[in-house]
Amino acid sequence: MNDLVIETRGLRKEFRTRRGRHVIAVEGLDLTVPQGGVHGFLGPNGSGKTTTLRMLLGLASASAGEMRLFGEPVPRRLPQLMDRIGAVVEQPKFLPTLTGRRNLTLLARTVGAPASSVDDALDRVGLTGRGSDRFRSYSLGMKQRLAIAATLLKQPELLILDEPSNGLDPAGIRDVRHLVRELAGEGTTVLLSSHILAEVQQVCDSVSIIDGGRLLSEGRVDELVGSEQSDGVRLKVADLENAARVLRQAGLRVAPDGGGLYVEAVGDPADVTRLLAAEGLYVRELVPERPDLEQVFLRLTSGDAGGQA
Amino acid sequence: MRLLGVELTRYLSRRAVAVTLLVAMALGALLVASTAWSTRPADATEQATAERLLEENREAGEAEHRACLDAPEEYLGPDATAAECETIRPQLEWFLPRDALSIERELENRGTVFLVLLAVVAILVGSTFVGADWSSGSMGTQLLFVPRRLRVWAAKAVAVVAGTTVAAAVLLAAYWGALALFAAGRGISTPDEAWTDVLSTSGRGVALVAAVTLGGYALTMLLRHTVATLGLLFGYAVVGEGLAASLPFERMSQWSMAHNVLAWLHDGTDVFDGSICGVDEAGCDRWYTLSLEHAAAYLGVLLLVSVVASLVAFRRRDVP
Repeated sequence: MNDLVIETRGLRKEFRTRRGRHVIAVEGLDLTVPQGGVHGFLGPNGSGKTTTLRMLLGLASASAGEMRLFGEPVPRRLPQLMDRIGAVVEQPKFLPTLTGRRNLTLLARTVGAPASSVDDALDRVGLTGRGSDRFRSYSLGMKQRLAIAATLLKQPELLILDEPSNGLDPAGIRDVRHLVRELAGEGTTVLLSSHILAEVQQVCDSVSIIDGGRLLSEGRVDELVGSEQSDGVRLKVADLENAARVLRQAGLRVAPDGGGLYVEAVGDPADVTRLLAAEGLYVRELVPERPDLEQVFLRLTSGDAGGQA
Repeated sequence: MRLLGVELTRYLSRRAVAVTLLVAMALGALLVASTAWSTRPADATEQATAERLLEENREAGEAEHRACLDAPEEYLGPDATAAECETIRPQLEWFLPRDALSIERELENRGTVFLVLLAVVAILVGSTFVGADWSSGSMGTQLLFVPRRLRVWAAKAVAVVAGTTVAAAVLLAAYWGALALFAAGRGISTPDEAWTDVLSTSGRGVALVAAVTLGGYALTMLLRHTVATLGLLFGYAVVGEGLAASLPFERMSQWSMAHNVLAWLHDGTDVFDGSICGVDEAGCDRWYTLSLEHAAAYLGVLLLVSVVASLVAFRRRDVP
């Protein structure tokens, strides 16, 4: 039994624009998404995330490479697999003159889902009261919610969400993140494509980072973040001037930071407190700077990537 | 079948489709009203005037009749007989201000206009039905639920063709039913042959509606935009008809869309084409008959090319 829900090998997509320009959107992408949990698919705009998802879902053809979903080759086996997959790719797209409920009802009938599944899905995304409104009257956030509701009609084993927070207000973003975690808790594997680092770090268990159509790094979020070197501290003392002098004399790089100091490349924060206390300078506040996904991401996408994790 | 049911529901839910069919119904009603008005019975004044004019012309007419009996071929052309001279005797209808309602004549005139209108409406419906899927992007959403593209193509095609064909058949039945009621109300009897012609022409008209609905649908699935389809068809009508009329080859007119549509509807049609004879070729007949079979082959090939190109493109191209 294959425990990878998504697997691509050497995936490539190239096309010509209407002006005849040759574009390589995805170039030799090796992507693996394990079963269970929330997997982030992180990359800057134009990095090939959406094109990859579109190829996996059969909306676009691959120029080269192999793709597997649930261990089965796609797009050949996609018709047999699609009932297990819910997906929102790019903007939510429905017939604008039909109501939200009508749009969902037609999709539910397409896959033989019971009529009650429509109300359940609307309820789960908080659209019950607006189901009878035409889709074109929805705000972007409501459209996004409806698209997520549509994916729930199939009770998917794999949920693929492409920038699900787009257009949502803060409460909506929180609700979607909560829903994603909830679904993952119920056993659904979620692939969350996003360029919002905080979203990925908060929600995802593992992540693949791509840029320029290539995989830069892949692994558990905590491992990626843990591998990042970040040993600066922010501190506050009564006598900033003397404190800076003492630390510089000890060979540390110090910079003013608001009402305090930022000290770079501190191996152990205790060294800082020891140095200052020896000079009668007592630390009021010391905050070690935590490495985060942003640092990993910026390092990887700035061109000095260290290869796959 | 599940997918077909969904597509039929979508067809019935589409407001643009409903509005277009309502416009077709209104145009049909307008044509019926126009026929009823332009064939209304003469009032007392008009009747009296006609009778007076008949009397005034009776003597001259009788003289003509007698002359015709002496030399029928001079009056009525080669092979004419004396019995046919009866047709030149003055009759009351000649002096009435308008013709009475005639189902045979309506079939040739407004009936044909209505069939062509239904065909135009069918193109619009076939095109706009799926054009909305492309413009809204819901085609992509649908393929995330049913990735078998050929099945999706076929289900949509069957739904739009079936829905539009049934609507056209109902509208045609209502059109001819209304005219039949007017004729019966005015005491005008219509021979069975005329109704047989109405039935066969309407049958071919409904088949034309089905074909152009499929053609409009297929082209829009290929071009992915209603306006692109309508633009292409308009361009074909203008450029194609222009070429058919102007290129210096014999019988280019047989490739005219309009002539072929008329030939299909009327079980063949007579076409005038100056290219058939040389400029100084005396006695040469510049008319020829464009057959039903030719029209069927011409329109069928166009439809087949559209459908095949549409299917191949939809199966292979990326969907936004």
